[in-house]
Amino acid sequence: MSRRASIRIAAALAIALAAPACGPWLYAASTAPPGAIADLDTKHAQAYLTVGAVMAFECQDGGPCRHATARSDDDGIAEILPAALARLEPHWIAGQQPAAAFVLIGHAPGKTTVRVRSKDGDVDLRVTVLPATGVAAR
Amino acid sequence: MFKECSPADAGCRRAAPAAPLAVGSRLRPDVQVDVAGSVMPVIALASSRPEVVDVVDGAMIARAPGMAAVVIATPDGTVIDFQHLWVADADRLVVERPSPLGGGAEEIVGPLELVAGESVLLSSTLLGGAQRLAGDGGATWTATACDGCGEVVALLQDGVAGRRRVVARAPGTARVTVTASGVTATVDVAVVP
Repeated sequence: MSRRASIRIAAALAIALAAPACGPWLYAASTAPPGAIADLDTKHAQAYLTVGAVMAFECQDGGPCRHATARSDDDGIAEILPAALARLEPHWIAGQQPAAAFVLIGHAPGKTTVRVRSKDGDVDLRVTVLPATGVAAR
Repeated sequence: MFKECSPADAGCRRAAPAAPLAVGSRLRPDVQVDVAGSVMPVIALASSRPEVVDVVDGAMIARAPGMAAVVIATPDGTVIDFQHLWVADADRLVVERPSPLGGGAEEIVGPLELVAGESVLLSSTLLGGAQRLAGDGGATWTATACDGCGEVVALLQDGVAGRRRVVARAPGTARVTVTASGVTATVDVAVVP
């Protein structure tokens, strides 16, 4: 095997290994209410939510994730619903696509996973619903 | 509230409480959604925390102090919008009357003096600390006249919750008592000939 071919194979392997680390990515699309938490860590696919708080997020992978769906492992802890943003966004290969948005609702303290599936790939969002604090706890 | 819709969002124009709801109160929000290319879809409201704010027959019922979100969704569960809101205990009730100059109401801070046959419109507002609270607390209004005075004032409903028209019937004194969400306010009324 030539040196050039070896380099090509190594590069292909590197790309293949790196591929799972690529998108889709989940981005927060709303802010937390005062006194509560509603954070989404895009890089680590983690969300923290105060019980009772609601957070919107979008699935992106070079544009809106196509044909995106989501479900929660435990609706009693965190419920996930599709959201309508009535907006189109450019996708890197598919042209204008509807925004792939969801709304996460914190129902009870605990941990669960929201599984987002799309034509552009999948991502599992680890969700922690925190007990209410301060005025939200009363 | 509901004034922060992004132009890129569903274009919501929503009427909802501009203050925390008083525990025990009820408020029916006027939800209007403008979606490009569509008339307003069929919507339903749901609460993220029914023990704090429950939704019954389209009205929000404030159950206990705390924070919750009301989600506006289509019947198939697609969320169009959501709004966080708070519920607080009421610690004071004030009786007010519409300002003759318009643009609000004036708190009744002393006795009312009315001429027999005169009437005045009064309303009640719940407060939590320095803050006005939203929602209809289901106020009850009663009037008690001085001993042996007969009917000094009459309290007439005018069709709006939390509001009464006080009609001076005959000379004497009376006390109007308003109770809502566990707090009470009184107004002394003197009717002169």
